[in-house]
Amino acid sequence: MWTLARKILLHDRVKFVVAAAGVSISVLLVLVQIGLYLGFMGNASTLIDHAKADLWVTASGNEQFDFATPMDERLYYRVAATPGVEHAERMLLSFGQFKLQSGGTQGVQVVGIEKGARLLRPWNLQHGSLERLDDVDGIVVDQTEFAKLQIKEVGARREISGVRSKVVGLTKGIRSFTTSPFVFANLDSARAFSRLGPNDLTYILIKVQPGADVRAVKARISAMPHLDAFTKAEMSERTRSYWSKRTGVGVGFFTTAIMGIIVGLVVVGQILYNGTLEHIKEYGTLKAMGAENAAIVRVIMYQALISAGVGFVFGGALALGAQAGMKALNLSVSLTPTLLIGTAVLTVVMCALAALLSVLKVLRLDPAMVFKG
Amino acid sequence: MEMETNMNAIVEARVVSKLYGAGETAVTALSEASLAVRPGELLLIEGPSGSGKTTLLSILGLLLRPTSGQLLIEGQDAARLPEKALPRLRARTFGFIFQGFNLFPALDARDNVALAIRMKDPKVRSSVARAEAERLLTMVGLGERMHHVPGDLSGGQKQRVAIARALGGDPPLILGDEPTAALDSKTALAVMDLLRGLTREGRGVVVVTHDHRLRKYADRVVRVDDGHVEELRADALAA
Repeated sequence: MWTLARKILLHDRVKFVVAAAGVSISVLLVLVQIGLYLGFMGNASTLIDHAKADLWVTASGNEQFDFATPMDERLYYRVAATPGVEHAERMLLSFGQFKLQSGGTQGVQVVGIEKGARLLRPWNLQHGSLERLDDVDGIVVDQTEFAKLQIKEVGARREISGVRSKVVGLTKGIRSFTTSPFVFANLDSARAFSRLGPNDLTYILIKVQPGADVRAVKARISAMPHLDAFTKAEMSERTRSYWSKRTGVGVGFFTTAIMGIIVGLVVVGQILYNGTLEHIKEYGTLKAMGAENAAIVRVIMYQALISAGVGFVFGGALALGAQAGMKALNLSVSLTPTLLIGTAVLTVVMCALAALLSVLKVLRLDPAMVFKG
Repeated sequence: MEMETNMNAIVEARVVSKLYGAGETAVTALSEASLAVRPGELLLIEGPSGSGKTTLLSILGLLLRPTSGQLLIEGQDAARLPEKALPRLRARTFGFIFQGFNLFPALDARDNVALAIRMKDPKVRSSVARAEAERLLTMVGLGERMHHVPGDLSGGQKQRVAIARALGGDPPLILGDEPTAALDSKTALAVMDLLRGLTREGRGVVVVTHDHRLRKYADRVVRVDDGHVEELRADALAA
């Protein structure tokens, strides 16, 4: 039956190419749009996901990770003394103005971490030394932001918000969602770069004691005035959810992906239905001769599956090409195995749905029509 | 309950009528027709256009249910069988051939025949169906052309493929709806020779036609006129 389905489908090559192209474009749109979305969302929560903290503590009422209101350092000591807390670290996340070699400025997200920090440190270091972050003016930036920051190497000196800084390390792949490059610095430098007070911080990162109940520790901290505490998973989800839902980013990406699916449905449905109509007398003859509906439906569904398979392979290849092309533009398309498998299943379902009209046509086909001229 | 059929007929219509529509607008396509087709005979059905020939053939082939009357196949009234039982009964009883051949243009002659064999019985393995298709195509004189698609075959050759396809699954009765209408005279007679040959194996053949020249191949001829079926006597045939 596979052979029959393939031969019928390939008999008119132009139509088959159009069907495969329709599925491929559909697959491409779904993969690239959702891949871009996942890439952006990965950037949005990258600091949280890479930190080794069990809990994130912030000033109460902060809705958004990147724009958190600072809190006083005295709260840190109260949190650190909470039963169940093994280790606590201060962190600052704020914005500063990075002076460019050309004379202009570039907004940056300053990430202040403690000297000898254990819960959040820059990762994927390519050049330089993380120990040098303890230097009074040391900063670590990401290679992918070279163009924005107009620097090329470790040792470059620039001012951030009027304060001197020196690049002591280069990472690879640490990108922010806000498009303002991350600049890692020690806590004191970060406060200066952000023009915040000497006691200001935005987050307290917590490692709970081995065997301690994370939820119980979280509840103890949340019960303190002026503080909210979140588990790592909650904080990550909260951050991605904010950007996805509050800004409409998610709706935009998924709308395009859904339109891709609709395009695929219409194109494949049209091609399969036309093909069924072209062969309606032959199918009628088979029914007259005693073929069961299921046997003929199988032939049509196999055609849909072949279209899905070919379309997915070509669409997937196009998506991989788009991923490489967008990487050059500093855009991250996250084609995860889950996304690829999910899209493959979606493609099969889409093509099967597209075949439904043809299936209905065959199911309703009266075999007596073969005698009607 | 099993019913006694007319001299072991493959299929027998008893007082079969077919009405289309209802009430005042009802049209009688077939009126109290009785007809039996026996193994080893070639029956010709003649009649003008719109006379009810195709309706009769469709009823005999279980493609249309009669409004009244009985259709006896394998000792049972097939007209009363549930819809889901009909495909299997059709598959083991009938092969069909048509004026327009109805072959899949994408498949070569062998695959067209093999497909019908597998559609009739999905349990038949692909290799077995192909071997059987090759045997049938050789039998109808197309052994050398079995790997050609219909587009590369003449009208007569296409009809031979259709006959081979109709023989798939070894049905006892072949029903043909004007199988020679699209063919030139010489080819039409060759096709009829082939169908006549099938009766020598004990198979029944029913052919609907307008062409009186085909009478010489028939064991019996029935005429359908305005829904009424009448068997022509030998003296009428000679006239």
